Amino acid sequence: MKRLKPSLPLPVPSLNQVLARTGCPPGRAGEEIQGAALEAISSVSAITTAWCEAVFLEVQEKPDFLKGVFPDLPVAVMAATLGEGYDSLPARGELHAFLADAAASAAVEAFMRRLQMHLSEALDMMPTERVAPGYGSMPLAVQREIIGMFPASRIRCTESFMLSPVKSMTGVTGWIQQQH
Amino acid sequence: MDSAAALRELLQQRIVFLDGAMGTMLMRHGMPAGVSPEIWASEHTDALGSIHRAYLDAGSDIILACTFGGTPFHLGERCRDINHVLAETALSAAGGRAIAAASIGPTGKLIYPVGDALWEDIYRGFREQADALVEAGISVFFLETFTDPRQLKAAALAVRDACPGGFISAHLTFADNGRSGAGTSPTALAMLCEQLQVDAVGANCSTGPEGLIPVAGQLAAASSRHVTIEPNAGLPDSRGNYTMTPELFAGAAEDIAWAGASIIGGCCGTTPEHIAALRKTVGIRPRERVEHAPVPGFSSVDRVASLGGAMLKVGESINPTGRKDLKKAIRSGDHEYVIGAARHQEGADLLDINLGLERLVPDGFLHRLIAGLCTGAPLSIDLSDPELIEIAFREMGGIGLLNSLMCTEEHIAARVPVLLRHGGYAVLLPIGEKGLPDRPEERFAVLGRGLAILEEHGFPRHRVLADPIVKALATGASPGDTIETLRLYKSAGLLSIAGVSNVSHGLPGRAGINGGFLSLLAYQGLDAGIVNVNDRLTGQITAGAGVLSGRVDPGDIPLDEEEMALEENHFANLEKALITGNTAGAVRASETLLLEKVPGEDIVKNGLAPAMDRLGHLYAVRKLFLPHLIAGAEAARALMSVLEPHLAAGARESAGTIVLATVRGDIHDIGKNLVALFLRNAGFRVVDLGKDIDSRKIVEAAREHHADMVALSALMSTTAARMEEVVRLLGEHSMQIPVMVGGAVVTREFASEIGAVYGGDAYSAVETAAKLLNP
Repeated sequence: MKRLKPSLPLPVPSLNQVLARTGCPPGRAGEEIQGAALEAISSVSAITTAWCEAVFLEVQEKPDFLKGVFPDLPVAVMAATLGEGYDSLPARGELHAFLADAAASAAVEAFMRRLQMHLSEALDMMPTERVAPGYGSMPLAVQREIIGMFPASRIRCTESFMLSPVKSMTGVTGWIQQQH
Repeated sequence: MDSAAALRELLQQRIVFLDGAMGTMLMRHGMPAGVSPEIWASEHTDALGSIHRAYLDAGSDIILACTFGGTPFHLGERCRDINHVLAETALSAAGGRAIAAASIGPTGKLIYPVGDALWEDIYRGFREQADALVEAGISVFFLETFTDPRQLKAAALAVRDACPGGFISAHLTFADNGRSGAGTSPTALAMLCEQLQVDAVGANCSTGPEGLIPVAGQLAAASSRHVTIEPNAGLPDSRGNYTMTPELFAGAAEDIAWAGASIIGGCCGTTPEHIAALRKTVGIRPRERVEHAPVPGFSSVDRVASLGGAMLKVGESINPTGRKDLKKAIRSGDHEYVIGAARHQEGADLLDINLGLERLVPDGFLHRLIAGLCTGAPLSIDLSDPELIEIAFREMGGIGLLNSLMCTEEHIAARVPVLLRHGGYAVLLPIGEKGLPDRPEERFAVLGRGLAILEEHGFPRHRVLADPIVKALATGASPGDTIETLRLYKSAGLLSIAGVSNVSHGLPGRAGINGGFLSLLAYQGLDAGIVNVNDRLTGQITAGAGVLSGRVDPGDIPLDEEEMALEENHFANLEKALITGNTAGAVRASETLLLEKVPGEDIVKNGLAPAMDRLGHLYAVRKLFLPHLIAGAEAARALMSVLEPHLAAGARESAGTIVLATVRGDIHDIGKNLVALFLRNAGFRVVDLGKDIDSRKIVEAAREHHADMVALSALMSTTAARMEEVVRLLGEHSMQIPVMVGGAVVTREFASEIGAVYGGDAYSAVETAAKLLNP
C-alpha cells in the first residue's frame, strides 16, 4: 500500500466550465451572468482549506469491498475536498449562491482530476475510468469504508452516505502500465 | 488486420485518443506564415515525422496525416503526389504501434446556390484525394471542419467509393449556438449520418471543449454511430493565440467522455501536452453507454421534421397538373419561380416536388431547383425517372422522401440504390404486377411483398412510408377502404402517408371534404399527409387530430396567429421575400410596387433597407445562417437590377469606393465575397482584388482607384499579420484612408492594435463602412 499526500494547489475553474455546469451554454450567457460567475469563481478560488489524498493498492492488497472493482488491476482510492472554506462563504444573494455552488463543484472535480494526473505521473501508469460510491455497480454504502481509509481527513460520511463538507468527493481508478 | 478493422475492434474495448493540432505544430517547426501547410509539410517530412512522433509519445492512438487541405482544389496537379508523401510519413511514424489516418477538410469552394461550385465537381475533388490516400495505404478517414452537410456528404461518398471497407468519421463544426455555419443542428447531422455509410459522426474545431459537451450529448443520443469530438484549446485571444492549458482542456474533455464520445482528440491550439493530459484524465476506459434513440424523420441543411408526433404536412402545390403558371415555369427552366411557389407553402413540414412530364424538364433545371431548396422544409421527391431521382437526392441538404415506389422487383431495383447511397425514406404503394387491388387485405398483402423486396435490397422497413391509396370519391371509390388499409398498416407498425386531397377530385366543396377526410386519417395515426398547407383548416385539423389521438400534447398546439394570414401589403411581401431569399418573390413584389407608381428610391428606402436590416439582425442573433444570408443578398442583388433603371441619377451615385482583398497567404474568400455582395447592395463601388493578394498590390489598387477605404479579410491567425503590413504601407504612401479588417481570427482588439477598424460580419461591415464614409 502506498499513501500519497501531494500538496496540490486548488485549480481555478474557467468561466466556461462554471457556466456549462449550470446548464447555461457558455456562448449564451449575458454580461450580468458572466460577471456574477466571475465573482463566484473568485470567491471559490480564495478558499484555503482544500485537501486531497490517495491510497494506492496492489491487487492482493485490496480490501474485500474493493475486490470486485477493476478486479485484475491495482487501484487508487482518492479523496478530495474544498474543506470548510466553501461552507463558510458569506451569503451574497441567490445568484451568487447558485453560481458559487457551480464554481465549487467544478473546482472540486478539477481538484480530483489534478490528483489523478499527479498519480499518473508519480506511478508512470495510465488510469482507467474513475468510479465512485453510488456509480454503476459500486454500492453507495461503501462510502463509509472509503472515508475510513483517510483517517487524517476532516471529511465525514453521514448516515445517508452524504459527504461533509459538501464539496467533497471520492473516487477509485484502476491503473494500467503505460503501453501502446 | 487493416487499420479500419483494428480501429473498430479498439473502439469495442475503450475510448480512443486522436492527436491534436497540426498547423501550430508545423509553425513551431519553422513553417512560415501564409504557406500551404500540405505543400510545406511534404517538403519537410522530418519535421512532420517528429510532430507525429510527439503525438504518439503523448498517447495518441490515431495520428492524422497532414492532408486536411489535400484536395485538387488546393493542390492542383500535385494532389496525388503530395497526399502520397503525407500519408506515407504518417504511416511510417505510426510504425504499427498506432493508426495512421487521413484528415480531409472542405474544398474551400461553396456549392450552388451558396457558391458556384457543382456538387459533382466537389465529389470528384474528394474522390481524387481519397484515391491517392488509399493508394498510399490509408483506410481510416476523418472528415473535419465542414460547415455544409452537402459538402460533407460529397466527401463521405467519395471516400466510401474509394475505400469500401474504410473507417469514416464525418464531422461538422458547430458555433456556440449549437449550429453549423450553414445552420445544421447536431440532430440533423446525426440523422444524415445514420443513413450514410459512415462509422462515426462528430464535431471538431468549433468552440472550446465546454461548448462541445452538449453537442457530444446530442450526437450520442440521436445516433447509433460512434461519436468523435475534437475541440479547440478554448477560444483564441486578440492575437489569435489559444491559451487554454492542457489541464483545463483535459478537464472539460472528460465531460465529453461522460457525454458518450468514443473518439476524443484536439483541434486548433492543442499540442502533445494537451493530448497527454487528456489521456491521463479520461483514462483507459470503455465509452460511456448513452441511451440513444435515432430520430426518425427528414432533414434539410437547416431544418428537421420528425416522424412520430403530429402528422407531418407535405405541401402539394408544386405539381403542374392544373397549374399553367407552373407548367410554363418548368418548361422554360424558371427555377426561381418554382422555388418561390414552393416557399409560399409556409406551413409545410415537407415540400412535395412533382414536375409533371419529366421528359420536358430542361437540362440543369432540377439541379438548380433542388439545390435552391436545400434550406427550409425537407423535400419529398415526386419523380419517377431514376436519373432525375439521383440528381434530386444528390443536391438536397439532408434526408428526403422518394415518392414513390411500386411493389415490383423491377421498379424497386431501378430506384432504391439512390436511397441506399444518399439516404432517404420511400413511399411504398400497394401496387404489384397486377396493379392496385381493391380490398384492404389484398393491398396489405401486396405491400408486404414490396417490403420483402426492399429488404432483399438492404433497405429497412423503418424507412418506408406505406401509402393506403386515396381514390377520388367521384369515381365511386369508398374512403372506408383507405381508412381500413391504413389501420392494417398501423397495426403492423408501419409508417404511413397519403395524398389526402385526391379524395375530392371532381367534386364541389373540396376544402370541406378534404378537411373531413384528413381528420379521419390523422386520427387513425397517419404519419404524413400530402395536403394543401395554405388552407388554414389543414393545420388546425392536424393539430386537433393529433391531440385527440394522443400523439400530441395539448400544450404543443401552435397558436393560430394572425401572421398566418396572407399578407397583401406589397412592401411586407418584398421584405418577407428578401429575408427568405425568394428572388422571384422579391422581383415580383418590386414590379408590383413599380406598377403602382411607387418611386424606385422609396422601394429601396422602405423595402430593401429595412429587409437588409432585419436579415442582418436575424443573422447576428443566429436565427438565420450563412446560406440564408447569401440567398437574401442574392435576392437583393436581383431586386437592385430591377430597380436600377427607375432610380434617379443621384440615387445611383456610389456611396464610396472600397478596395477589398483577402491578404497574402490566405486563400479563404467566402467571407470576403459576402462582404462584397453586401457592400455593393448598399451602394458602394467595390474593387474586389480577390484572395492571396500581396500587400503592395492592395496599396497600388487603392491609389489607382482613388479608394475611400480599404477592406481586408483573413481567416487564419498566420495571415492576419499581413493586415498590419497593409496599414503600414498605406501610411508610408501618405494615404490617409480607413482600413476595415475582418475574418474568423480578427477581433476588435486586434483591429485597434494595428490601427484599423473592426468590420465584424458582412452586415456589420456595411454599417461600419457607411458610418466611416458617409457620417
